Amino acid sequence: MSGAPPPSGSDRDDRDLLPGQAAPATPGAAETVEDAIEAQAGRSARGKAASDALRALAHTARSFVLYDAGNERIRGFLQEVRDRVEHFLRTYGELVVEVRPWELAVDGEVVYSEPDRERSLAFRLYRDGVRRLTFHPELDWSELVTLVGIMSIRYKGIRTQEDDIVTLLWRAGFSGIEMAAVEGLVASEEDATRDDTENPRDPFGPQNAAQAAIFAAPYAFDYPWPTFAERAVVELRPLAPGLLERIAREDGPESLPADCLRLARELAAALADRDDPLALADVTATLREVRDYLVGEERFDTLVEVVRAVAAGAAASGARPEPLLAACVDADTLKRFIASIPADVAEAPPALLELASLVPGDLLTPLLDLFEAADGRPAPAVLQLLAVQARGQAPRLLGRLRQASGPVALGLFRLLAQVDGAAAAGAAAELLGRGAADLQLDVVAFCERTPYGPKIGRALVVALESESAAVRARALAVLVRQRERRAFEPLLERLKRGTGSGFAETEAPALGEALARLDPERAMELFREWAKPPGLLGRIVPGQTMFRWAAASGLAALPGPESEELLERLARGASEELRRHAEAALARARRGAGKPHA
Amino acid sequence: MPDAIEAAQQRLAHLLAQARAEEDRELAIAVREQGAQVAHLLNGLLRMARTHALNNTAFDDPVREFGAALFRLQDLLGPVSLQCVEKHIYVNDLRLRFDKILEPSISLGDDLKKHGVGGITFNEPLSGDEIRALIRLVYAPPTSDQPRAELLAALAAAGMRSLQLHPVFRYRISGEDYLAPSLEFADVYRSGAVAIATVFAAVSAGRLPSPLPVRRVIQQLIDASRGRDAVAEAVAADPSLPPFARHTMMVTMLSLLIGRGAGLADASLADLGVAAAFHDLGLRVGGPGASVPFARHTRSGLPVLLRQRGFHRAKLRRLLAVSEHGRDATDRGGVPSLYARVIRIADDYDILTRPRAGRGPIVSTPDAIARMAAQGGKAYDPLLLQVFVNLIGRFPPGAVLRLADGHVVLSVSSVRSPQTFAGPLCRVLQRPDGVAPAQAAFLDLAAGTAKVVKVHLPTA
Repeated sequence: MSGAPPPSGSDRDDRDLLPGQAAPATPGAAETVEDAIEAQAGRSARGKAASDALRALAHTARSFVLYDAGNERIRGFLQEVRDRVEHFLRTYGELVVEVRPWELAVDGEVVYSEPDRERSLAFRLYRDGVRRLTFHPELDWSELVTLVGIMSIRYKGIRTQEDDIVTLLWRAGFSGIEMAAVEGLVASEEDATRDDTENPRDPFGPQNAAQAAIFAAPYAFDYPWPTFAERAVVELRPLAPGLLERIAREDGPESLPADCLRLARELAAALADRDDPLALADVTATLREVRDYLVGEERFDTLVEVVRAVAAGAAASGARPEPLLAACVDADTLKRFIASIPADVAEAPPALLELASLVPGDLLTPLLDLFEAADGRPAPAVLQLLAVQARGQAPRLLGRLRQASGPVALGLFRLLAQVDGAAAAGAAAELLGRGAADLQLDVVAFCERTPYGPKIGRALVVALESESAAVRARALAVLVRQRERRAFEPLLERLKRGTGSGFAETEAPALGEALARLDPERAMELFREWAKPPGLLGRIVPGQTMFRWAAASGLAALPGPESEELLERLARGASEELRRHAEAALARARRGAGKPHA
Repeated sequence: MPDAIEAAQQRLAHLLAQARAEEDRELAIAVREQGAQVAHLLNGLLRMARTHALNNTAFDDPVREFGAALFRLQDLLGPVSLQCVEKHIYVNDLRLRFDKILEPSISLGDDLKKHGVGGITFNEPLSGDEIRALIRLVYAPPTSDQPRAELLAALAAAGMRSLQLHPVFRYRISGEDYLAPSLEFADVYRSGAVAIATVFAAVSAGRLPSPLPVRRVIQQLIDASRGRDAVAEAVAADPSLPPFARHTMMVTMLSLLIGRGAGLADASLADLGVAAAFHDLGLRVGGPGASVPFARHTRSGLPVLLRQRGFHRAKLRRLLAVSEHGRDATDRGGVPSLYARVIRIADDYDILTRPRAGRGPIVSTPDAIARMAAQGGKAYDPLLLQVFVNLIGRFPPGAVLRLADGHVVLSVSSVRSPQTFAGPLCRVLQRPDGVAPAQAAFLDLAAGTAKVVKVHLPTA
């Protein structure tokens, strides 16, 4: 191990403390007031150093109750454990810790004392039967981390059927830490003595009635034997280490996913077993555990195979596949899968699509949640999944769309347009009436590429009311192209209402031209009216001026003598700008082909 | 590249997540809640007895509730063991936590202690009358200097023979014997019978057996067998085991031998050992007297084992081992899992060589190994089988051999070195003159020129 030299044990408190005596709560010395109780013990310098190391170990292990492993404070605590343990081992050599119910002692000197059993490292070790821990000088950092992990599991109250602290420590296979343990409980001494004299207990005999029943039950070894008649010469054949590597690989953690798949197949087959059918609840619970493991390890490829095996098993057994499949894959599974896909992957992995296709129940909601969480710009995989899952779900998409805004609304509309054009067309008018400009532009673009119909026409007419000039212009262009006569009145209304800066210059000519193309006869009537010389009021009222701008453009689109005459009239009594506009229109009219306004 | 501390943080996060996944939270919560209820009600009944006569109707409800709570817990755990240790109360090794306000009123430990009792195991449900009798007897002060025996006799007289009373417990103090590797192998091996009995009892009652006691024994076995001829010692210790545990323990030991020979780490060996100890659980389903056809025993154990919650590699591989150990290595359904293939070899070897009632074994140990050797790559994984062969030798322990010089000997060792593959250490059963030696005599077949001319089939 390496690390910066730790501050001496006396950095926290120079005074010698009796076990249980509170240390002053100096800043930085303790996490909380309660930490002060777990005070530094040990009188000798060696004892103090041991105390520092063990308190750091206890404190760090306990801190996982409060903090995630990645927390910055954990980082600090780990550094402290490392420094203090290393300091002790480097300075004093081997650290032999005797575990007592409330204390830890080194060579009889109490170096750790904590009366609160919930907080006490000593009690947790003691309760599980650990009686001595020896840290050897060659202890490496990796083993110390494992020890912290085991302690923290106990502090967090995690209890598995498979392990206790003694088996966990044993399983860790430490080379730098030795443990001595006893069975946790024993009969009290005076009682045990009497008990032994009265009725000596056979440690190898039954310890309770249930065991006694097994011991006493008649037993005959009648197993059928393998009937192998052939014999081979029995020879010693040295096995090359390379051969045993296959075994090691099969035993390693990397083969656990394959074992998961094997078990899934086994369970699926057992479901169909008529003699010993498994309970669905037991199978689904195990499948959920398998799923969680595979998801945690990001082994989605194996999970797909598990799902296939289970689906096949369900089909063979006649069991309802839904609960089995639901146990194998759920919305969270897909979320984790999606989160595991690198950002630069443009295509959803086939495994993801297959899993999604097999998830029973609603996937759309969680996918839409992901979509919204990504502010409408999710991973390509989400879009691909949504494109599948949203089919036939237009009302739900619309529901979300109505609540959404900004990029989310934009994305949802695109999705809706992709999966259900008719529904998108139906919603277009609503969106054009309330959405933001970028959404409206997208809706108009959708209208442009969608086969024209009443819904699209209505939507585009609504778009003429948009606050965005770009939206209005684009909608107008489509309407004109489609010769949508129903747009005439709204256009006229728009023109009548049109005020504000820049309106005349940018839109009035376009509107005039649109009117001319949509209904030439009605438009001509209007243009005649608008081309009349304005009275005094007409010169000052902006609306009148706009009509004249519109009329000029509209007349250019209706070539003929009357149009030319009206344009000449418009040019005569107009402002300089309008006059130039009218003359240009006249020129176009004379060429006989009024070109549409840009 | 994360630094050492960051890498440690990542490792610890993974470790904790893994432990969480292994946890059976539901069971722990249920035991804690229902256990606390049982302890609390028993405590309350004993306190009530101080102020009320036991025929008082005030007892009716709490007696009924205690009976019901106990029944529920037994349904979950089987025998319910309530232990008072110093100031703590445990239910089947799980410490109960009481409300801090309530805790001072818990005097159950003191009430039991006056009888020299530290714990009670409830093996069967109790009726209302029995509960009242239990309260009466525990409340009454002892009259003899052997209070626990007195109480036990009184309980038996009241029809509660299923109750077990345990002495007052304390935690072992420092300085007492540690379970160190210095433990005698034979003792550890024999102690396995108790763990096996616990497992069988649970399965017989349709309950999930806890692997933890078995795991502790297996770990001791791994430590105790290190550097020893464990097979020979297991063969020697076999007769001292109760019959029900012999096959299970031998298959466990042989599996550990193969696993170790194949280079498995100790942690994996422990998992393999527990799997081997569980391999025939299916035969125990339904309890004593119930009969599970041998052909179905691998599957019939699954429903019980599947009730263990939490993902653990040991559990996963145990489930596979139990389910697949009867299959051939070339099974059409796919190659069985590693532990299943190991256990298959150990299982078949013991089935072939274990003495049967009224007759000896099916075949001798050398014949068994020769027949099995012919099945390498068919019934058995050839690599694992060769590992086994290399360790157990041509004349495995238990082989009765006639030597060219007229000696009849019993093989008492497996392979001690490559040179002893066909030359085990043997105990002399009969000298060339046909007489058994008066004292134990041994011949090392690897040391001399002794030649095996015949292998005898041991008789009953």
